[in-house]
Amino acid sequence: MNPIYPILSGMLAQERRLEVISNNIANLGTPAYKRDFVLFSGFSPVKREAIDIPPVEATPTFGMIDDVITDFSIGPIQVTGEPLDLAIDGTGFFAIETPQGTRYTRSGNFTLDPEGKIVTPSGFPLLGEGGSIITPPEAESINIDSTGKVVARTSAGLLEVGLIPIYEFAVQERLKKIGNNFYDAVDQQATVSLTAAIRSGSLERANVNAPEELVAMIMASRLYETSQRVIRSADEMLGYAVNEVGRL
Amino acid sequence: MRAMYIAATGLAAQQLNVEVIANNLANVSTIGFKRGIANFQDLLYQTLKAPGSSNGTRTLPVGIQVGSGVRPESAHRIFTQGEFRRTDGEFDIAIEGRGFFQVALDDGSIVFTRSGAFELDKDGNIVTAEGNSIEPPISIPADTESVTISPTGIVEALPTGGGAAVQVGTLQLARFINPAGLISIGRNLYQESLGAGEKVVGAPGDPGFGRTLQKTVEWSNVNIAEEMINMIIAQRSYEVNSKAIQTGDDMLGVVNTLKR
Repeated sequence: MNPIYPILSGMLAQERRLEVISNNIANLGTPAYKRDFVLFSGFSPVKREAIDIPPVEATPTFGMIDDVITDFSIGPIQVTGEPLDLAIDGTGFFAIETPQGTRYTRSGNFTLDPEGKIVTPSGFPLLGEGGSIITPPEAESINIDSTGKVVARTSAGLLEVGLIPIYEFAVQERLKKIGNNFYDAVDQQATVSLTAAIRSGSLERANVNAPEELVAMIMASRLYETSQRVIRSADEMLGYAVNEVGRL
Repeated sequence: MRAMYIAATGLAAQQLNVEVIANNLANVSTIGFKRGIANFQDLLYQTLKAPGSSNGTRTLPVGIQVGSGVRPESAHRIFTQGEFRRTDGEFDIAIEGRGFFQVALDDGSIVFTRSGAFELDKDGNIVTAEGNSIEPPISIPADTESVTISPTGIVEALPTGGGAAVQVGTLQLARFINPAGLISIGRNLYQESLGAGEKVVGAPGDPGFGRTLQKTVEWSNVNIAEEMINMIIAQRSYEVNSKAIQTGDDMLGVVNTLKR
């Protein structure tokens, strides 16, 4: 039965790969969504002399998914003209205040809440330099410049109401995706980015490339079929061993 | 095959997207219409191996997290200014800037609109096309030659027999800090909600309020080219998601032929 289990684990890995691909394309329309891709670990050779090592280590880890890595490349920028649509030009994240603590996002489709606070569409406040940013109710318009300075235009003149910092991390691949377009910093310390700029009136779209995902999908499907052929061959060989060899 | 359920969330999301776009296109020539937009966010992730965890000998730089698809976060309106169109209607009024006209419904509740194509009813009151009076009500005397409405909302009637123009009322506007939080009730009307914030009433031209333009209507702020592009992207995204479901199905088919 030896060849069947490793091939089966390869099939399960392809199933998992299709899940990751499906999630990427389900999020084609999610602002600033970052695509995930899988890395497979190599086939570790079965040691012939492995009889005396513990059974756990003797189990070959054939065709396992080693990692799911997030590709943090910047997605295409769509110009929307809405002053509260913010795209980050460069690496970095907005900090969002949630009941679970500070979370990070690149999705910049902000809006105002009833108190005039700048919030995500789900109502979580955007964290400025000194807490959330509240715009005055009499503001006629709000402008955000590339350094993140938020200026409200009122009949009494221009009023600076806050500064939006962009945070970056030493290893952004280690951020944990938690859904709702948020990332959890886990154990990393966020530092204010000095290079990233804010583009008001623009939205970053998902960095998912549909043709690329389709090719990966075909690969997953075909590798799955190949695995099935191999299992059938192995089954035929076993059948021969059991039914024909035994007859001799 | 969980991949099929994940892709199904993508289908549902793109369907909502197309619905919002279709509504925008259907209302491209609706006076005072504000275009809608659908926002999406990714669903929870299943963490099979946490980033930063240890496998005994080394700290893993990345982990295995598999997402579970997408969900709509909001579908709200974008209250940017629409373009102005000159008309000959004395009671066609556009708002240049922020604010809404207030309309009294039959049940006495006050609702809000940017659609300023008003008429006169048989008693000379300024009403919407459906006959609901504006709030506060303004009535025009029967012997009026013409009516002028100033940018600050002052309504003056010029009597037929000559003489000086008489001020018959002042238009009032209502504004909200977050108009995207208003509830759309159709007929170009919006209802107050907790999400929109406290209603502030003022005269046109007051700080924070727009000015009124007579013999002008505000066209919808729908940009057909932009909506078409969005529709193409939504349709293609829908197709790609359906391909993922098909692939999942194909793979299930393979499983069925494993055992002869």
